[in-house]
Amino acid sequence: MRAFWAILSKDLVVEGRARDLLPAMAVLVLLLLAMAGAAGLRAEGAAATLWIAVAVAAATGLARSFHQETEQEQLHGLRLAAVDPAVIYLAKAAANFVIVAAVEIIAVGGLMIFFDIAIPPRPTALAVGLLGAAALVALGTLLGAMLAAARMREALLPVLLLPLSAPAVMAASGATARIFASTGGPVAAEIRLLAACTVLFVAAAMLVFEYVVED
Amino acid sequence: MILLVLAAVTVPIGVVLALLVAPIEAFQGEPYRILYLHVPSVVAAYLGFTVTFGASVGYLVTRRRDLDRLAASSAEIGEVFLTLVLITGPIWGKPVWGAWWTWDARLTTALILWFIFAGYLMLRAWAGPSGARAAAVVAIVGFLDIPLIHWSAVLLRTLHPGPTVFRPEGPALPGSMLVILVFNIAAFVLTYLSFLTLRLRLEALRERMTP
Repeated sequence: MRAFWAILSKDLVVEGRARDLLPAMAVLVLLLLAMAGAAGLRAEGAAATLWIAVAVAAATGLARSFHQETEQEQLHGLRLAAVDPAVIYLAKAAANFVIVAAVEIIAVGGLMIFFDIAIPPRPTALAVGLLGAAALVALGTLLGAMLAAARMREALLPVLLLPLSAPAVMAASGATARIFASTGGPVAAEIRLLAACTVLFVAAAMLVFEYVVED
Repeated sequence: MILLVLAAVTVPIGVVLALLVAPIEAFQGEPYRILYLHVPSVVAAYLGFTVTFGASVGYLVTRRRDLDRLAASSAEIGEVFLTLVLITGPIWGKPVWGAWWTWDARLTTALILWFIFAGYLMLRAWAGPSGARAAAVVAIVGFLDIPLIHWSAVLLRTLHPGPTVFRPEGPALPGSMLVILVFNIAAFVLTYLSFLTLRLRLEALRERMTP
């Protein structure tokens, strides 16, 4: 447990000091939304575009964040310290979740301004937002660690993350569209699917992570 | 070798059966015949990906190189069959539905699956042998994703003909069509197996060449 908090706080402090990853991701996500609007997107397609933009920004950011790790051989150090690989994964995923959630909040803000959308203050809206980010991060952290040493990592991570996270992106997008629409409607089914995705991705990652980081 | 001969024989027979012998369908007319290519391709593709999934799990656990080769080869062939599915589907859809593509559950799942394994093949190409473990993870997560993708697509919409063959209640096709369909499925499975054998042999040779 101590290791978990140590790794989590280390990652967040590093980002807090460098302040390079979050602004880059935020700019990217706002750019995607802005260009979509400039290219003709209106409120009807906004929900889907939001989630694609967040997924792409997350993929780009996650590719970079693991690159840092290989540069300083941090994963090796963590392994030498006999930290359980599953704990390493959870801590990294938690740190990435904080960053992606922040990017998502910025994206939603952009959405409200660019497309004149009012977000109803429903708890389900929050659930959809958080679970969608969680599913993306759960997969992205695993893929990022796997690809940390691979060539073409920056190109490969989005190509792998987007289709693998498709069920989460689709469910989140459908639910978000319904939340934005004034007619509304229940999103319980989508929330259940998002929860299932997150649990599956986290479980698979925890099982597999030790195979991924050993030599 | 036997497999290849069997496949080479059964596929043309299957095609002839499909085009000339199979009865005409009441609502769709002639275009429906592409069913005899489309459905067997689906079967072969999913068979290929299932084998990849099993081999990937086995490889992660045992580190046996032959399981890794099996996973990679089967994924490649499965992807080819899935590409066939995605080509024959729209060819069937345009005359019958009026549209090349719709975002219904089955099509969306097939398309995203195509991208998952395209990513898998790209990873294998770019990462080489050291990427074997990463690729195995992608294959495993991707395969487990299939029901989830289908579930989320269902939540969004549905237009693809409801299942007429693979249903819990049993097939709804008339006997004559079903026989030809099953024959073609068998022919395609034989094709998959013969391609797989050839591909595995090629991969083993390639590995012996590189020290």
